[in-house]
Amino acid sequence: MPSFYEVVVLLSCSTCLILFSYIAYKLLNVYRKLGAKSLLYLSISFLLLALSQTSSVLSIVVESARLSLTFYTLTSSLAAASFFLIVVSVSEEERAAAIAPIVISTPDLLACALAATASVICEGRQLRAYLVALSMVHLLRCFSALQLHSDVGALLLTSAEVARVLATLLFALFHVNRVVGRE
Amino acid sequence: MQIITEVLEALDHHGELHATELSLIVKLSYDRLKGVLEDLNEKGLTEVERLENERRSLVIRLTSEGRRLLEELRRLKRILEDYGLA
Repeated sequence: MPSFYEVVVLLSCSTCLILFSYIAYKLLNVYRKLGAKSLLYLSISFLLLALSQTSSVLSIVVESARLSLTFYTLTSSLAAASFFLIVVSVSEEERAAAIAPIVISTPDLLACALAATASVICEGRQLRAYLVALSMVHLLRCFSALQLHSDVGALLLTSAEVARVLATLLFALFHVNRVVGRE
Repeated sequence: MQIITEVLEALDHHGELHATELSLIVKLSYDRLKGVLEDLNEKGLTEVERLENERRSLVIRLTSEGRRLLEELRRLKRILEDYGLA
């Protein structure tokens, strides 16, 4: 008997699969008549999003833990490939504007993932809390870099920078206290 | 993509146009427009007719296939605009 969570996710994924496939089909139809490559890229990107949803459904449906994990990771890999194609398919002017934030935000995304991993591996509740906070702050920085072209981008970046400085200061003080502080 | 959509829209709006008129409407040099029109003709989306007048001028019009494609493009217009493709 599937749980409520499974039913909601399965229904949402199946609906997305149909909708993305429909958009991909429509774009492919126009591409076949016009031959504009940007249309083909955009069509494939929606097809990949549809496949990503299929993978998501399979990750829930299959019983094998290994297969489920494979489909789980495939879901985001396919989504990433789709978003890459979207960046490639947009007009050159918009593409140039899109690349810079991606380059700027990538180290923050990596820092976020590594800090989160470290928080799981490390011992000590306080240290874990600091690492989780640092991870979140880098995620916020990453998000703000990606929103640079929007109205709220500057505000987000400023907030993220303040949060990062404070979290790093607390992190440094924690370590100094561990070294010079009393038991 | 944007140029193609504009050319198809102009031809649909005016019925048929001379190449020079079309180039003025879509704000494209005659040479660039010529390339676009050759491509559209090859794909059967537009057709060119040489008029039997003194200047033997050329008029361009949409084919039924071109009209069908324009309908599809109109449906996808908003999504294409969102991605900077129209």
